[in-house]
Formats: sequence, structure tokens, C-alpha cells
Amino acid sequence: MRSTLVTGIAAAACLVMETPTLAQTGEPLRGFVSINGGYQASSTDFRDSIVFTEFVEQGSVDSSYTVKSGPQLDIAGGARVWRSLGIGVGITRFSKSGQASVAGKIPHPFFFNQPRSVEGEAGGLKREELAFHIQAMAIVPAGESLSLAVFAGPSFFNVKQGIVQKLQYSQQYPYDTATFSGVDTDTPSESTIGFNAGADVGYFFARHVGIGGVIRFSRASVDFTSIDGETLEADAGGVQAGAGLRLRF
Amino acid sequence: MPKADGVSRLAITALVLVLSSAVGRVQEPQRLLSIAAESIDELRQWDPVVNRLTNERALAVRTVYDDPQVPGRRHEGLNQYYQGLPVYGGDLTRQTDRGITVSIFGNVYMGIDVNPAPSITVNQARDTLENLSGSTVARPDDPTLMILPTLDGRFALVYRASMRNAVTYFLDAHDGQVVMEVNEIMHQTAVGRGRGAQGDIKKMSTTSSGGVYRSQDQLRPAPIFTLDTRGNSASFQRLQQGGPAVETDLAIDTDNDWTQAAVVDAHAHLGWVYDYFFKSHRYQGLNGRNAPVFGVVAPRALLPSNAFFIPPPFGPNAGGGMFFGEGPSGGPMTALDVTAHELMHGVTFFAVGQRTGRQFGPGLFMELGPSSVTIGGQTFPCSESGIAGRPFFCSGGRYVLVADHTGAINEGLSDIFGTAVEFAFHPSGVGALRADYTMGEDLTDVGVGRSLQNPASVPIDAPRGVLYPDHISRRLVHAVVMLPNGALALSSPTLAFVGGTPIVLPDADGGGVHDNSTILSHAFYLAIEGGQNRTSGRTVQGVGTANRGQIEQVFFRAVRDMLPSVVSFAQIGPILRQASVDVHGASSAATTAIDQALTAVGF
Repeated sequence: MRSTLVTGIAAAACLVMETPTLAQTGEPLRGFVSINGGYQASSTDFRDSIVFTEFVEQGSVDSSYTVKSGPQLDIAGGARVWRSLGIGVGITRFSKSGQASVAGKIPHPFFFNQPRSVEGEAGGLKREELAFHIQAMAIVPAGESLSLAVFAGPSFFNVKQGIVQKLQYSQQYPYDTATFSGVDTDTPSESTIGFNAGADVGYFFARHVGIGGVIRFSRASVDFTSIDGETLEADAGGVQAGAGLRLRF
Repeated sequence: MPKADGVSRLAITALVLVLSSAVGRVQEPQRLLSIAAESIDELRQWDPVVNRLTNERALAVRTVYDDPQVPGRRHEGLNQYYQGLPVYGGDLTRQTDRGITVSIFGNVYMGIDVNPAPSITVNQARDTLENLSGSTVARPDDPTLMILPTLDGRFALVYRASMRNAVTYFLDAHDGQVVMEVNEIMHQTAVGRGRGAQGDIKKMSTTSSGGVYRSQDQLRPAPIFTLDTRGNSASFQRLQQGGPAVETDLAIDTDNDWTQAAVVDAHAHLGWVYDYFFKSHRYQGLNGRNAPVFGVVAPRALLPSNAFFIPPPFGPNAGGGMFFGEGPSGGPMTALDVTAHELMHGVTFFAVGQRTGRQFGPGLFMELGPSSVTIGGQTFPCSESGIAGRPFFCSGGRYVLVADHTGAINEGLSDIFGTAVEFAFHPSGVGALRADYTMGEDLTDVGVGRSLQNPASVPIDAPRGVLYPDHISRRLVHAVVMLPNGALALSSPTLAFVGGTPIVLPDADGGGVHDNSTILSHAFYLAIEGGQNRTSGRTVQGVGTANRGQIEQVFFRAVRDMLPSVVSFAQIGPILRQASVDVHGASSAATTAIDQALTAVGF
């Protein structure tokens, strides 16, 4: 999908080889900056299963995480390098407190093969995504006051994710049942490479200043290491939409 | 498990005298009111009697507590006194429903005419008993003065004292002679051979300290300690005789991966048995109040082919305990049903003791045999020399025969709950680690001791073809002999009567406590599984395996709330029927099953 998008954007760039100019002056566009407040519209789900040993027997904790949509901050800039083609960079930051449904099987202290099932919700599992996007862009002439650009390129993600490390439970004799009381969590940080692609549209009510909107899809797969040493795979990014200030030079 | 080897549970010289068929009537000359009142007519007769005796201070309320199972019910434990002295075996349990009497069970002795002023002092009695036993008194308030009904129909003023040699003596307070002695070790014995441990893996609840793990369970409400004598006879004696249990008595393991089968089975099984009583009967530990539970494992050299419960003031810390030995090839006597059997002895001891203030049994009941017997072509008229060179004790020219009904009921109850525990933790079936109705089948080098399903499938004495009884008519009774000092006793070998047929057996089994236990335990089997009693031919509609808990509830209620300290075969049937009516109702399938099963075995 990533290569298809890049190919498509390059093709579009070839179709619009006219050099874009600044409105009112006719000077060629040299660069731009955009600052957007936005919303990461897509949520993501992932699961983790931890195996642990308690009472000389293996137990398990299955956690189903949901990272819901939420606000993000987007800052980008770029420069025209040849006719309608340019390069740009962007930074997006997404932060959201998520939750996980936790289901555990806890070994019985007295008997083998008689696990106690517990279920609960773990909240406050923070997701932070900081993505650095490199973009090849095609700037499409759309009149003196409008600008339109499509872009695509690699993204470098740094993702922090709150994950369940250990189940907390209460029990009392005869221990045939246990009650979920919470979880111990950790918030590891991992980096990975993904991609981004999108479009930016601006309306300039002054020579250098305008407003605009951006829509971007970015995606990366990030691997965390669970407490039991196993890999926990989660997606980062998603469909992002924002609007804000546009500056051009 | 087969009967006791070597040490009789009871070495009697005299004890309770009552016709076993007598229920609810005054017996002469024993003057015993043996009460099993549950019908309206019986209650109408006996409730005023109990009230009158209470007003006359012949009976005193010892305990009163609300029924833990049936709302509105209350249980009273009343003890008999004569001139302010307790009467051995004289106690009643009265159940009321919002003030209306529902049942009365127990025994009261009438016509006591003994001089209550002792001729010897407490100190003289203590000195006599210390010389006799070679040990000291186990309870600080012993010896205690009391009235003892004797086997020859009189009453004796006695000092009772439990000594550190694990024997309780009853010393005549006038002439200083021992009237009765009771060995406090309740046996669970087996003889056979096998091939080693079962090899099953089970969890151990232990304690970590000092870099090692110790066999101390702190996860259950009652602490459970498994002590290892490590072959040290001094430790064994100390722990058996009421000495202190110290930390070094605990079994230890360096990595908490235990390999000593005796410790593993004893420790885990004691915990499981605790779990069973808690979950099934809301009963907490040995005494219902989470007293510490002590198990002691010992090698064959110290405890060959045997396991037993010993009550307070014996056992570790003088709190009672379960002792487990080894079979002929070193297999531990710690199978689940055996462990549960022994712990049930403790439950029975404490449950009855706390309610009545007395120890449960022994309770020898007498019947008269023939005037002569013929064995091997030789005729032995009573009053002639006995089989061991001792004269038999005769009454009117007839053999006086006894059996310890209370002891047999005690052993039967332990087999019943040993089996119940096995079904609670093992899948039913045949073979190792499967729940069934045989006792001790998982002892790796001993084998089956008793069968609840078909008692007669297991011999008491194989060479002589004596089988465990499945009906009261097949019970074993033993002739009483007179010792040179005039005391009455059971002898070994013994002249026994099995279903009326005389036979000489090597051991009297303390009055047949193990031998006759299968009559009651077979009734338990029939009440659950149903079927036909092979002797009576009566058919029982059991409640089915899915409802086994209903029958277990009935038997446990009888132990916890209803059994008097001495109970006869004639009384156990009415008690269990009443317990079932209390818990399940008169028209329930469980009560029908209980009634049919008890009738089928002759109770």
C-alpha cells in the first residue's frame, strides 16, 4: 500500500509541473509552514497475553487494549525544490489515555489445574505517539489564494504505551475464587519506521498567511516487550485530520 | 483399614453395662436410661423426665448453641452429676425448635448409691498412677473424681487421670485399684505389602525462613504443621505424649520441591481434609475453632503399618495429633482416606467433647451369650477355665459378651468421612488415586483395609474365614474374662462370637471397634449408592452420587450436634434418622434413603 501511494503521488506531481507562485506578487513559492490542531480519528486495538508462574503453576493474563481517537498536534514545513515538487518534514504528537480489558487465570494455591478466573478493566494506560514525517510533495496550483499539496514519505515513530505487567487480585480462604483489584503497569518506549501520506489545502487571505487543513494517514507497527519476554505488537498512527495556520514564503 | 495390631484401644476391666437392644426403657440391674427419643410419644415421655432431673440437679446444662444448619433450632448438652460428681457416660443432647423439644439422645444412670467421699486423696491417687504408668499426669487438674458405671452392674467412685504414657486410668477412690484403663491411641492399622509411592504431584503449602522451606501451612485458617520424627524415638515419644513441638520438628526442604513422600502426602492431605470440612460442613479444623492441626510422620521402626489419632492432652503441644507410620516396604501410611479417617477421629473427639464435656467413648455394651460353647469338638461351659487360662465372666451361667458400640461407631464415622473426603478430591473410579468405597487402597504396600460397599469382601481374619459384618446380626462380640486380681477384661486371644458362632481370634480389637465399624459405614454406602444388603436382603433407594453431600450432611450433623458421649448401636439409628429429618425433612429422598439404609443393616 505504501509503494502504491508514493507512486500515485509522484504521478500526480508529473501532471502539475507548473511552478507555483505566491498570490498577488507572482513570485515563485519557496517554502511553507503549517501549524495544525488536529484529531487522530482512528482507534486501534491490540492484545497481549502474559504467562506467569504463581503457586508453582503457570497462570496467564490476557489484555485487550483499545487506543481510541483523540486530539493531536501537527507542525510541518517544506520547500519547493523544482517546479511543483518539494520536500517537507512534519511532526505529529498524539497523546491519549487508554484502557484494557483484562482477563486472568490465577493458579490455585492448593491444587493444580484449578485456576481462578478474574476479569477487570485497567485504565490510565497512556499512549503517546511522536512521529517525524519526511514527505515528498507535489504542489498543485489552484489559484492565487488556494494551495493544494499532496505528500507521502517515511515516518519515524516513537511510541510510549502503558501495558499491563501483572495482575493484582484479592483472595481469601478457601481461595476457590479471586477478585480483580487492579494491575501493575509499565510504559515502555519503542521507536519504529512507518509511512505517511496525505494532502494539505490552504486558503491565503494575505500574502504569507492563511489557514488550511490537512489530512494524513500514517502507520507503523511497533513491538514492545512484555514482562514475560514475549513481543507485544501494536499499531501506531492512523487517519489524522487537522486545521490551522498556514505560512508561505 | 484392618483392626489394631498389638495395642488394644481399650483394655477394659469394667465399663458400661447395658443390653444393646434396650432403648428408652429402664434396664435392671444396670439402671440405665438409654434414651433415643424422637417421636411425639417418646418425647412426651422423656422431656418431663429430663426437666425433672435437671431441676433435681442430676443433669446440668453444659452447652447451649443455636443450630448452624436449621434456623430456630437449638442444642443443649446436659451432663449427669451425682452428689456434684460427674457420671461417666451420663449425658444427653436435647434439640429444641423454638422452645419445643424435637429430640433427646443420650444416657442417664439411675439408682447410684456410691459413697461420694473418697477414701484416698488426690495426691495418693496421683502417686499410685505415676508409679503404675511410669509417667506423670498429662492434665494439670488430674486426677479428677467421678462416678463410673462398671461392667458388673455397680457404680464406683473413681479418680480419672490421663497419664503421659497415653493411657487414661480410672482408679477406685476407695481401694486404690485400677477399675478401667483406656489407651488413648485411636488406631488405623493396615497389614499388607505394595511397591512404593503413587508418584502423584501435589501442592504443598509451606513456610520459608532461614533459606529453607518448612512444612507449616499458613494459608489455611488453622495452622497445619507436619512434623518429622526423623527416626528419633525420643522425638516420637515427646510428640506423642503431649510434649512441645519445636521448629526443628518441622520437615524441611531446601528448594520447596519436596521428595519425602510421607511428608508430602501427610501435609497436603491434612490441608485437603481441612478444606473438605470447611467447604462441606462449615466446620473449621479439628475442633471447629481452628485449633492447630499437627501431623507427625514416623518411619516403620517407630510406627509399623499404623496410623492413629491421639487426643489432648497427648500429641504435640498436648493438643492432639495424627501420627502416620510406614508399611512393610516403607510406604507411608498417609493415603488421603487414611489421613481423613484419622483427622475425623479428632473432629469427633472435639465435637462431642465440646458439647458433652466428655470424651466420645469407649462404650462397651453387654449381652448374654450361651451357657456353653463347642470349639474344635471341645465344649467349654461358662465358669470353666477360659481359652487363655483365665475364667470367663458369667452371669446366670451364661457368657457375658461385650462389644464397644461407641468405638465401632467412632471408627465407622472415620471411615465414612475418609471416604467422603476421597470423593471430594479424587475422581471416582477404580485404581490408584480414584475415589471408591474402600479404605486404604492407595497405601502402596498395605492395600485395602475395609470395604464400605461390600464389607464381607474383606476378611477380618482370613485363616478363620471371619469377614467384616454388613449387618448387626453379624456383629462380633467378645467374652469377658476375669483377671487374677478379679478385674474383668477382654483377652487376647479372645473367645468371640461372630453372628452367634463362637470362634477363637487372636485379638479382641478393643471390643471390635474396627471389626464392627462396617455395619454403620455400609449404611452410609447404601444411603448414597443404593442397592441390596446381602444379609437382610433389604433394598435401598440411594440418593445417587450427585447427592452424596446430603448423606454426608446427615452423618456430620449427628457427630457435631447429637451424639452423646456414649452411644450404642441401638441409638445410632434413631439419631441419624432424626438428623436427616432435621436437615432434609421427613419426606425427603435423603431421609428415605437414610431410613432404608439403616434398616437394611439392622439399625
